[in-house]
Amino acid sequence: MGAKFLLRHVARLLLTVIAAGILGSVVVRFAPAYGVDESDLDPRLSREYVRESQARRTDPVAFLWGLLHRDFGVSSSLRRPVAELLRERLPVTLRGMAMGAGIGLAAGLTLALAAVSIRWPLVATAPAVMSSVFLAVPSGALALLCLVAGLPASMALAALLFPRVYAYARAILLRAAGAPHVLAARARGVPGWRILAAHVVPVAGPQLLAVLGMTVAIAFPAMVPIEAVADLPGVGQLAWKAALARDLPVLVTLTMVASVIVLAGNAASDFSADAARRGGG
Amino acid sequence: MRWVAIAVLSLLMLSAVCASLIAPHGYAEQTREYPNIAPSREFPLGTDDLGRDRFSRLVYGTRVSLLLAPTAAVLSTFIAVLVGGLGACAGVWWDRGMSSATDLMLSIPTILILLTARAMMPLNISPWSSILITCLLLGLLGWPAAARVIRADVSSLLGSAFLLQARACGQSRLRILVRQLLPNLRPVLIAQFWILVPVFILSEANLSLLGLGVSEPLPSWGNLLRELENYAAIPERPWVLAPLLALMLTILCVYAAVPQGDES
Repeated sequence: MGAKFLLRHVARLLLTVIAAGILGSVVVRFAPAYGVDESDLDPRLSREYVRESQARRTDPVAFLWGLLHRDFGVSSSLRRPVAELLRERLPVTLRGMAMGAGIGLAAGLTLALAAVSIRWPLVATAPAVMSSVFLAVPSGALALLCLVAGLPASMALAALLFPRVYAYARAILLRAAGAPHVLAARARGVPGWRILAAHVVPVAGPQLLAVLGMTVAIAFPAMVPIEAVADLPGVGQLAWKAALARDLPVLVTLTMVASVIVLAGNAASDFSADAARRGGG
Repeated sequence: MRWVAIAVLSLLMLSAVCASLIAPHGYAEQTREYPNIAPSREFPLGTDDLGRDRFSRLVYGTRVSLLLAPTAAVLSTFIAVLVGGLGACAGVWWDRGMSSATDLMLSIPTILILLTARAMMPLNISPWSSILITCLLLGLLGWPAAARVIRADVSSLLGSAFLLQARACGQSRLRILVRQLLPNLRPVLIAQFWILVPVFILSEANLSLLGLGVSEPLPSWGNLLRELENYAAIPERPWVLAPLLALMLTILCVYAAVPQGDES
């Protein structure tokens, strides 16, 4: 069962990569500047280089092969292999994601637990108001506001994730807290913290694991405006600069890498939630 | 609360429609002798680096942002109906193809598709073309989540008793679609539209903040936010936050005005 589940996700991931690669190469093929002899624009480029990069772009299969086995293509604006650019910039993005997502997850889950266990109106209202405000601000503006407040820009990611995590986790925990056995425990006078630890969290746990997948799916794309406005040298900034320079090979590769990260995050959370569900009977 | 939100949204819409009557200056009118001045009677929100009245630009920007997002939302909802509705109605293979396309679109981060699509187009375009391109991009790429919801709804409607009865009565497919299916889909379509409007307002703001959305001198809430990039000056000139407050107010009002279903 587990192997079948894993295989299905791996197959879906591979299919997405292939489909995104073919789509990407088609996009590059039909882009307005395609076919322009780059050596006319920049005499420093050799004829061989131009011929090779043109060939790489023409054939979707060759493009995919280059993506998977060589260097992810060459950036037309930075004149460097995309793999090299990714190696340099991915750690910056992953660090920012880890920090922002970690704080967002911790804040969302803690406040959701508090809202379910403590019955004061303020405990439920304050996070709801905060969530509404954070949901109404573009991620780029959130990053700028973080910089104004003297906070690291990745805190914008925490502010962006917090409302989603809080709303999702609170709904799951409320559903688990409304189960008949929890009501019976409360009627018998079992302390609130014990009900939460022994009856609510174990039931809601597998569903809460899905939050991790959602976090990755939101966090990676959100890093584009955050890094762009905060001038962080990560993959998000690279995507923005590539868009301004119309560097389609970089954009196509980044889109594929982002899809793989998002799909892998979803698959990992599905897999762990499934394992936890089966482990819990 | 809902009625307050509707009233605020109506006021914003009215100010967008009557922008030329409300704004004391043109959105591109420059007063070179007064760059970066503080709010005054003549310039209620001060002026920007080029001496343009911030208040006038905000009012005209409201028009652009409040026109662009709903238009793109209508386009997206229409595509979602086509993809989701046809997927559910037109047979197994079509349904599988449409579902796979929707899954593929959902697994690729929208901002990267937007950047790629925007990069395929010329960067130096006229301001009006930039509005059209931004609107089309958002509309053409924002449908997948809505399509999935509509597909599920159409599938459940297709198995309902009243549609079976309509079919048994010999009603044509077109009549079933127009008289039975679409009226029952209306609440879902309206909900999807209102879900997409704030998403597109935020997307436009992010794109314009990155310099890839509505281009100058035409103002939109997104490109007005670019003034925040000089963030060190914000504590001295807090009035530059006015576009952000307008954007937040609009989105909060949309959330409050649209009736929410079950929170879970």
